Amino acid sequence: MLWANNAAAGNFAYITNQGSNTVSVLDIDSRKVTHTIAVGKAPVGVAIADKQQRIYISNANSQTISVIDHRSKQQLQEIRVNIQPVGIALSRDEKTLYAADWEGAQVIAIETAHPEKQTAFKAGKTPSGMVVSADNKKLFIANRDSDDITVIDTRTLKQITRVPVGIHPFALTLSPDGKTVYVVNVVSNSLSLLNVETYQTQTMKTGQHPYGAAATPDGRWIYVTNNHAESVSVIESATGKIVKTIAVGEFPEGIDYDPVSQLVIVANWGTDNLSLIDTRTNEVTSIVPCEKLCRAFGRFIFNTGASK
Amino acid sequence: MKKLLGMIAITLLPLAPLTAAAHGAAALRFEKSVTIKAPAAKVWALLKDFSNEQAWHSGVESTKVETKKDENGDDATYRTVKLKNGGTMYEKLRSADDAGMRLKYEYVLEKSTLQFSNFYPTISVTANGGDTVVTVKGSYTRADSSNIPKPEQNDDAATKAINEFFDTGFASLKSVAESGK
Repeated sequence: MLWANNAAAGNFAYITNQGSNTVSVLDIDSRKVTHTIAVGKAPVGVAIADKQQRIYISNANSQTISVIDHRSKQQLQEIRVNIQPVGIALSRDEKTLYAADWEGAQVIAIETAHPEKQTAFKAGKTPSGMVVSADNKKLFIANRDSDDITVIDTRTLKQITRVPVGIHPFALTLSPDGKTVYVVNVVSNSLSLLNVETYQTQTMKTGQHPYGAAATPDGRWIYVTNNHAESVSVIESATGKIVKTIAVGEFPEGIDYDPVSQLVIVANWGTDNLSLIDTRTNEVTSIVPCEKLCRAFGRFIFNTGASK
Repeated sequence: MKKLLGMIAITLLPLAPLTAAAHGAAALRFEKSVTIKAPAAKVWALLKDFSNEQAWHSGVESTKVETKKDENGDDATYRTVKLKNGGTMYEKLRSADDAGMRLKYEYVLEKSTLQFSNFYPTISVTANGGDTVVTVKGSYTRADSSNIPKPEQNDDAATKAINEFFDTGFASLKSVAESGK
C-alpha cells in the first residue's frame, strides 16, 4: 500500500504573516510549520502556480511580489510593481499573474516568464480579491469601495461588464464546477453567488464581517470566515442555510479547502494561528501557531499532485 | 570598495520612502489590558452602558445615543462621544453580550476627529481570582490609506491616538471601579 500513500502525498499551505514579513509553510500531513520564508513587507495575498511549482505573494508595503520556489522553499525573486498589491490571481495557464492595486482603481497583468512586462488596466475603487474563470477567458475583480464586481476579458484586458453585489465585496472564490463566483460582502454580512455566464446573483446570509470563502469539491458546502465573530459559517449552497457555526481564532481571514486531507484551513489574524477544520465532522481538529498577523488572502494550498 | 558601497547606498535610497510610508492595505492590531481590584460584574456594568462613557472615562465629557438605520437598513444604536479636549468620537454598537461580558462596537471616522479608521474593538471583562482583567482588542488602520499618507494621518498617528484614548480610559476605569462607589 506504500504507492497508494505516495499518490496521496500531503499538500502544503502557504500562509502570509503580515506582521512578520514572512510566509509560513504548513505541511498539512504532519500539521507542522516546516519552513518560514522571509519575503517583502506586509505580505497579504497568495497565488499558487501548481505547474510552475511556484508561489506568488503580494507584499502590500514594499510594492513587490515575491516568487517562492516550492521545491527549495526559498524566495527566488521579488518583482517590483508600481502599485500597492493586495489581491493576486493567476491565469489558468499560469502565464499571467494579476495584481490588484489597493490604492488605485487598477489591476496589472504581469507576464510570469518576463515579470518586467506589466500591463495596467482599469478596475473599480479599491480592487481586492480576484479570480480567473475555469476557461481562462474572464477575470473577476471585487471592487471593495464601489460595491461591485468588474468582469474583464483576459484576451483584451477590456471590461465586459460590472455587476453590483453587496457592500464592500472583498474575497472571490470560484466554485469547484467553475459555474459560480462566491463573493463575500464584508459590510452586508452576506455571500453573493455570481453566475459566471449570466452574471445573475443570489444572496445568502453569513456571520459578521465575512472575509473569505472555500467550498468542498462537490460544491455542496461553503465555508465562510466571519472576521468579527471568531467563527466559520458552514453554508449549504443549495439552500443558503447555515448548518453550523464553528468557533475559530480571532479575526479569521484566509480560508482554503485541501482535497487530500479534507481539511479546511483558516488563518486567524488576531491570534496568530491556524484552525484546521475536518469537513467530515465540522470540528476543529488542530490549532497550529503561525507568525504575526497571518492572513493568507486567496487560494493558498499547494497541490502536490497537480504538477505530475 | 568605497565606490561599491556608494552604489549600494544609491540603489537602496529610492526604496526607503516607499517602504516607510505604505501601510494602507495592512490593518494594525491593537490590544491593551488592565487589572482591576473590583468584582467583574461591577466593571462590566460600567463598560456595557453604551450611553454613559463619561461614567468611567475621565477624558469623556458626554455621550449621546440615537437609534437609526445602518448601511444594511437594520436598526442600530449609535453614540456621539464628546471629549473634554474638544474631540468627537462617533460609534456604532455591534453587540453587548452579558453572559460573556463582551462589548463590540465600531468607530466611524467620517463623523469623528481622532485620526484612525476601520477600528472594530471588542472590550472583554474576565474575572481572575478576586481581580478583574479588562482587555480591549481590535483591528484598525490609519486615517489616510494612500501609499504616502499625511504625517498626521499615518500609522504612527493612528497608533498614538488609540493608545492615548485607552491609556487614559483604563486608568480612570480602574480608579472608578476600585473606589467605594
